Amino acid sequence: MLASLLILVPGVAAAAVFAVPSNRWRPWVVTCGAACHTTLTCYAVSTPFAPPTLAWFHLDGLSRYFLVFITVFFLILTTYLPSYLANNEHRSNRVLCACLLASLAAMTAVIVARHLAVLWIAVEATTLATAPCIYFEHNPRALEATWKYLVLCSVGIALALLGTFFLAYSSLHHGQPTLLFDELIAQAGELSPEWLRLSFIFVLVGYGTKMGLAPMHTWLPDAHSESPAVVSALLSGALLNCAFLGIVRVYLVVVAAGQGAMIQPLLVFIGLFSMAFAAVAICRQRDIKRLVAYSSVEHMGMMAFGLGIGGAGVPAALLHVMHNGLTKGVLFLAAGNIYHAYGTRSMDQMQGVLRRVPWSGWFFVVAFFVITGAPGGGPFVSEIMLLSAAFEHGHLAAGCLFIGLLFLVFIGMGSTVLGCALGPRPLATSAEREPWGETLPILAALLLVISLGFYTPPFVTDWIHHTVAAPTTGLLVPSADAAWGTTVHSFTTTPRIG
Amino acid sequence: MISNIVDPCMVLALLLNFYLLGVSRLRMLIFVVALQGVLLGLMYPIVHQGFLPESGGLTTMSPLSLLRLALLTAAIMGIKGLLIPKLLFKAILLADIRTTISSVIGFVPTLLLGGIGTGAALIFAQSLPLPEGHQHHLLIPAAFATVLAGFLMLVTRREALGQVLGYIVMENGIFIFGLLLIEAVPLLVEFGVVLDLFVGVFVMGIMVNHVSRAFPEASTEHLTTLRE
Repeated sequence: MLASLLILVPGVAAAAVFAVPSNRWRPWVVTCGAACHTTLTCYAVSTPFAPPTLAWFHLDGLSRYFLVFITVFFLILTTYLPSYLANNEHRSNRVLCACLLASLAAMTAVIVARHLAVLWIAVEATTLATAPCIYFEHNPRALEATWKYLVLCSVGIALALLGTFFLAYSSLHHGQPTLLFDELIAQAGELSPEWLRLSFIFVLVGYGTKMGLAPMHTWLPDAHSESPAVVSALLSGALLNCAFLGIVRVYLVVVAAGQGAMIQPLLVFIGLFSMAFAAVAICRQRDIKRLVAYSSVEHMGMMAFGLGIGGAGVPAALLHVMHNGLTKGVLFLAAGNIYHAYGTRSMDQMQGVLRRVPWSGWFFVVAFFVITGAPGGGPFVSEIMLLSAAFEHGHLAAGCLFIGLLFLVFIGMGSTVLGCALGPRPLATSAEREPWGETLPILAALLLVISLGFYTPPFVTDWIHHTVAAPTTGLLVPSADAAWGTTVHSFTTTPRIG
Repeated sequence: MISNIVDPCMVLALLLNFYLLGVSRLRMLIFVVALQGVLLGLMYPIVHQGFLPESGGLTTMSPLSLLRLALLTAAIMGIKGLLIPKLLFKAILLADIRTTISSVIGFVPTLLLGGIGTGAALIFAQSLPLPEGHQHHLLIPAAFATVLAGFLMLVTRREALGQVLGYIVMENGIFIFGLLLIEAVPLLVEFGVVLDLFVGVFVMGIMVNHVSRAFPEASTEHLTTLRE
């Protein structure tokens, strides 16, 4: 009941926003809608865990975690929205505002879905709701980005639907087919392994396209660079993670079925490949927003890597969702402010950012250090967790490659970012006025991500473990110890990919 | 028993795939895609009758659920057979685009690839472990072949609308597979999927309109500005 309400509130708010006639007040209504969603979420997650009452929606630990993150993140974005849109008053923001709230409704549906086909419907709905947002600027470049996004993501996740159906089919072999993932996990041992593996590959390619895993990521840098700053932040911080959740749901079923060893090398490979691809692209990237977009590809790769490691890597990857998302929000919003001041996204033409737009400049530089894994930020914590999990489970080569790629990204991103951040202010320009509305939300996100580097709220870890513990560490209980042994063994003896 | 009706329908769906791969007239393409959609929508109650022997199929259903089944089937067929084609015809009119589409690799090679794909789907489906009662009919190979045909259309067509049609055919293929999973994927969920497809095509239609205004002939070959 509560779960359906959580979807309904932003949905109704989207319709309300569409009806508001004033271009100036509309963004504030979005903020109000987001605030209502946050309030309701706080209430929903404070209720104790209960057995599912609805057929299609349920609030388990994982959905609580994602829900809290998404709602806080969205609220921060919408407090930035009014001030940002004030710079674009000549263009109607009706569609943008309504679609932002609609995408919140769709993302909530992804998170609280209990039925995998319903989850798919919601993921496709997020694509459709965000596409008009990307086209906000109405120029040929935005058109190209939107078209690519729409076609690639739709086709990609059509494959995910096929994968979802394969999953249901794998359960057909022993009685009733089902797509409720709690039921799938409960009867995991009886699923047909061939169909299960086929299903995971399709789901990985499908949702991986939407998540931005290389080589299916080609839409991502375009969509992120051509859309308004708020939308880029939303895509990178929230939407990609929703697709990741889709992969996690199916992953948990596959692992519970004891087929983890078959798919984990694939995840490690695709994760490291995404990181490597992004690292190379980052080194030669001169466009500030594309730079951050490639960093998204890199971090999505890290999450896939975490799933591939298994065991302690899974909670680490899930924790990274929140850390990476918030930092990406800071980076994209600050990049938006910098772009606004300089009128170009090319970092070759930017100099003395710290002097010209001091607040946004500093936010960007600090967030750059945080995202590249400097101690003191959230991503540092989850990356260390990922690495220690990798070494613990015997992935020595993969772990070393992971560290190497982190260095490469740090050097590549650092030389570009610091190059334009430092230096004198361009002649004949003064420091830009930066309205509070455009700096405070970024500061809030930045403070949040830094504090997460020192303290992870216990309820977050509880929620993650509540769902993840059952299928993944379930393999560690004595009866299934042998299965876990073969997992580790197959990793250490077979030639490792990547 | 079920194969008596389902298999000929699947053969028809496969033939329509080949027709789609070889034809260049846009209006004809839209018409055939719609026809395939209606055919698959019709399959739903038929398969429902055949695959649920323990429930007795349609004959033992309560009038209410029978009505629900009829309404949802009609809605799915309406979307696939009427709304989407209407939308696409309107896009042609509004955008004033060329009424023929072209293929990057030519029509004959596409057809050949489609043929190879269909053969491969038949062989592949044989190698998969299928539960009792599913071995002998064509649903699974037809699903694979249709997804493949849609994918082929999608990657070989130059024009935006041709790609949209490829996407719809792909979805048709997935729909065929969904027919096997009536218990796990209720018709209402299937309806949600089709609704998503509809909204997707709607948004794509709007974008096609914008593409054609920005570039002549709505060819996506112009969409190549954004690079690394």
